[in-house]
Amino acid sequence: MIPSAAVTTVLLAALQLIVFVLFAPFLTATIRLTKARLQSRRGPGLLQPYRDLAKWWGKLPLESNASGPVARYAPPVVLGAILTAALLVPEATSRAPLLGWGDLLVVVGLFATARFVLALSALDAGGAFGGMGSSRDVAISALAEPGLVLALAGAALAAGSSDLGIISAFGIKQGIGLLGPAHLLAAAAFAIVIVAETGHHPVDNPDTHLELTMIHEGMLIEASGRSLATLVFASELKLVVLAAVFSAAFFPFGGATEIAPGPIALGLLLGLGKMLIVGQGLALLDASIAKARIMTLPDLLGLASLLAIAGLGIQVLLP
Amino acid sequence: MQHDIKRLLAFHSIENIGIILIGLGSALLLQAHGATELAALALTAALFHSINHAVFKSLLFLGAGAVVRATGLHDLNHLGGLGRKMPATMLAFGVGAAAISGLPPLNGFASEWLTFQGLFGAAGTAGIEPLARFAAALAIGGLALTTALAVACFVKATGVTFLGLPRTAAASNASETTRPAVVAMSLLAVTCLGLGLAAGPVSSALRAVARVAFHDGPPLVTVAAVSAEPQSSNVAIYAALSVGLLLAAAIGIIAIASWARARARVRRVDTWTCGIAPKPAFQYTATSYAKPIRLFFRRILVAEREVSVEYHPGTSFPSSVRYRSEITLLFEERVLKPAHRLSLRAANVARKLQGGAIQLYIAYMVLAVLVLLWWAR
Amino acid sequence: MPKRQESTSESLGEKLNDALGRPVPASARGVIDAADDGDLFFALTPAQLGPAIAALQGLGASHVMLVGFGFGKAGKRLAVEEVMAIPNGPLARLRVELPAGDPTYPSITKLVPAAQWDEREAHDLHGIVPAGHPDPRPLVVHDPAPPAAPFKPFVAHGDGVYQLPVGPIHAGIIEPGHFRFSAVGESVLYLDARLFYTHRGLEHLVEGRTFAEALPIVERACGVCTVTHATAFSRAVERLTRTVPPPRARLARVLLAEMERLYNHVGDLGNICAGVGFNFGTSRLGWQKERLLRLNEALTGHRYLMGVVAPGGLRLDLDERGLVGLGAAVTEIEHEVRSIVRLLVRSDGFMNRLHGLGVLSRAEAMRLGVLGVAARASGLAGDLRRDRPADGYSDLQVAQIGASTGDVAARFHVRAQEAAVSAALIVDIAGRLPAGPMSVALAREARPGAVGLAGAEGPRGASWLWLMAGLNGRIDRLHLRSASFANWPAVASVVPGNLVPDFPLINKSFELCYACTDR
Repeated sequence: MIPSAAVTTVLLAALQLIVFVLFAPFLTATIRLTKARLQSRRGPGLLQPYRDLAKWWGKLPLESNASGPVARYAPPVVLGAILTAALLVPEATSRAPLLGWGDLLVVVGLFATARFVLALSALDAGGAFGGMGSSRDVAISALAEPGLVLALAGAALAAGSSDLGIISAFGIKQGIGLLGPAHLLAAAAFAIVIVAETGHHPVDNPDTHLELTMIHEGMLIEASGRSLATLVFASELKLVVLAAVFSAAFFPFGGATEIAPGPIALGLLLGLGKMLIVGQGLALLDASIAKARIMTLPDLLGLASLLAIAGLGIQVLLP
Repeated sequence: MQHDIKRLLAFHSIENIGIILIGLGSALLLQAHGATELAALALTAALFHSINHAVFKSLLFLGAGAVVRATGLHDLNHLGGLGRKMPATMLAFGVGAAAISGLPPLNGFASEWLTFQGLFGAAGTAGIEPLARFAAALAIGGLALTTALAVACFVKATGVTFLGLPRTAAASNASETTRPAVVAMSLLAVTCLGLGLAAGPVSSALRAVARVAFHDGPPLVTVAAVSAEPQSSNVAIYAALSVGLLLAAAIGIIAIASWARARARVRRVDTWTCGIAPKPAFQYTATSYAKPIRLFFRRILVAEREVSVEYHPGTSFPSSVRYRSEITLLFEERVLKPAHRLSLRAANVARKLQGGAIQLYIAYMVLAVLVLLWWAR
Repeated sequence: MPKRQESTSESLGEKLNDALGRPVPASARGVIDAADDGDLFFALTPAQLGPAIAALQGLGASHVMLVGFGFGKAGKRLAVEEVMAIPNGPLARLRVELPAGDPTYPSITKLVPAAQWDEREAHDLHGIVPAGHPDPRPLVVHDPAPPAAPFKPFVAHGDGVYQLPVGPIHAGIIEPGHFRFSAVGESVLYLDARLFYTHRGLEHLVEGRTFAEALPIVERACGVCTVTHATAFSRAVERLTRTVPPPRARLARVLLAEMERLYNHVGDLGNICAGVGFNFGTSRLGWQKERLLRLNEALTGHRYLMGVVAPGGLRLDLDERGLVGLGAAVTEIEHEVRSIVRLLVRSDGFMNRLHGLGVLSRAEAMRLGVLGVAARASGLAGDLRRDRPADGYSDLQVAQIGASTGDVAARFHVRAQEAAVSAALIVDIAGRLPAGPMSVALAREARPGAVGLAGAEGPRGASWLWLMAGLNGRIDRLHLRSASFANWPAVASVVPGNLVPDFPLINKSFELCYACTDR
């Protein structure tokens, strides 16, 4: 019995949403655990991020006297934008689950929406740390954006479309032959961008207590209760979505090309495995290198853009 | 870098005209190589963005006008906290800011998406010279950078103006602008959203126009989505309405979950400033907000920074520290000003020639006639 | 003990007489002070203080501390005493007794910038007014009684300048201090630090107590300089009572002081790693510090070495079993630390963060009277262990470490090398600690009114203790000038011109205590 297209779509979308939502805190937990182990600490259990979210969700929210509707309603918008992006990324199959398409520029745009609203809300309370985090975040994102789009452009030009599903299907069809020099350069560029966008070393320190060095944490400094839970969860989910984009665009191998339970389950498992690998990479970075001086970030993120440009150059100039 | 709210908007016109020209440029490039469909797409992007720019820039200028009218101030560093007094202006300006920053589901994103598709087309069309394709690929990065910088700039412009605490008395005494202005801004804000959500039909209509410009095939009609075909078999889709609805649904569900029950139980506290009482002077200023970007691009944005320290006489204890900074506009310094000086010098020479004496002018005429005669000989 | 230099003292007196234009009363010189150790003492009028200091500066003397205190009936009369150290020469104490009802004297901060905080502190705690002080804001008392102006942070002005308040309550577990940055975006224009949130009035608390009662209080001025402060106190008492501790105690004090320096330096190297978020270094060095603390416990029963050093020697003998394995254990830890530091130095990303950051120039270090690691990293020599050796240091050669660049990297390197020197000293002493008694009784009672002055080189530099004996072997007045107190102004002075996110790193490279600054 073949289920109707509508039912399949709803099922697939629900599956992806549930898996992403449930997996996001877990991915963060694995990163923290590895980091702790690399520092000879025992580290928190794998359920700690879930417990944190539950704790914040139940707490009495504090709001600043200075802040207003922007700070109050920003968290749902931020998470909403990332959730929407989550539904546009192919994961188990080579096709985005809900609408059947998932344009990479729309995903990038939704991230920008989330960033815009979060950065704006950080200014609402009128404190120094919110402004500082916000200012640093938009500046670093501005540097990361060309690398992000150019890296994806490389994959898009190869596949002939900016649709992540088409790119992913193209990659699966190409098989191992996909991994040419241009492709790998773009993948390297994207990896650097993931580090910057998710706030890991050497760009940001996700668990610093030094107010003056905070970037993402600085923007969350006035958030509490459900707002904090929402924003922290949004950043955890953002990592999952970015990792999914990474694997869809650059390492789509194993994604299901047909709608059947077996291949979908396999594709899902492989997809989650790839995310764990991305997470472990980030943990390794956090544990093994120092945070860079903020003025050297243009060099690092410029490198991402240059790698992507080099990839494009190989692709376009040396066919 | 620019902290005069109106000049800031004016500078962004340059950015947007650049985006329109990118669309136009890729259209011409594609047309020259026979990729007519893609050329029409790129031209559609240019047309669409021109319309969008007209809408959101008018909106932003109206908002800026309302701010200037309410406070008498242009400098962002002196504003702040206006959102409490001018909520409607803040909302409208915020929508305009999001639109000009190219954020989905607003109109700015739709036309920038089409512009990107035009560039993808130009970079991916096999017939075009590799170097031109590479240039188009580079332009993709440039456009991405521009969009991200616009986000930074408009978070600054909106946040520093409307959020936080008032930095001056004029800002704290502001009041909402006139009703007609609010109505006008609201209409434009709704237009931003409407053009964004209806990107599909609007771009189909514009595409019909664009096709006429290049060739006369039947217009392709897509109702709910903008779509592009960079290569014949593959389609890229941006279904603005679906994304908008999805976004709205997600936001709505989370907002209801977050606030339905907790709404009544919120405790109001001071903003956290490490245990001391908050002051407006603790807020990030516009200059500060843009500083990381200024430093990241310090090769281009050369600042004349001056910290002047005065000391208690005979000691090295400072009695005052003052800061002054100006961005040297390289283009202005290296191109416009030399050109300006050159024309001034030319004018000086010309003034010497124009002595005002009738005899001199007669001599010029005679000279001119002689030269002409010699030339026509 | 400093070498007796009678002839120098005589000629110093002559020079000072010349400088002051009329003779310093001969009776004043060295008479009130019964410490009998060659300290120079001058009783001056308020107007003579400046010229006398200038004359001593002409001899290369440097500021040690300025003490304000009350004396006479119920402490109604007030006096200030400026203590200066003459290189290779004695200490000089210049006392000015202020007229009753007008506790004002001309400020010496213009002459001796290093005295800026001393004078403000004397004003806040005793009401002594340094007339003409360039920065007369309150220091210790945050909200003084109304006629006095409340503390106002010094800030920069100008277009787009904002103020960044950090502290007194921090996100991390660190001591309270309020830092007010004036900044434009990431660039710091000015930094004003406000400390003394942990002022407990320890100096007042010990007044009227016996030496034995006062020791635990002085020792607890802060938790990580306990040996330094206990030793400075003990030496001051020993000078007042002409007591000489037995050889075993003299050497054991060196052992304890070096253990304190070693665990502090190792921990501080780890903290510098934390300042750049370099988790590898933080956790590895943190573990080595923990091992050292456990050695401390095995040796003395206290991880932070409290309750061991006392006037007359040691209160408790060192644990024999702890002593047996000490040398080997310290050697092993030093090896570990050395290999971690080697890895750190090889990490470009890490060292790039340290180079050129928070530069303290030699001139600025000299002007502000910076001490310890910070001074030695800025090209200044200065180490009490060598300059004014006491206890076992008199017979030891302590290798002097130095650097000249004055940046965070220099302070990092100096700490790393000093840790190695300390470890070598510990290994040497642990193997040859002489047998014998660990303490002697105090030789005699301190004469009331006599002042005992002693310093000890701690992990952060020289801490000095000024102790005036009272009746019946009790304390009349006490002043503890910790190394952190002397170094704090330097932290604030090097930050402008650096970036906001680099401040934690600069701060950690000095790694000063708040508690022993505030007392």
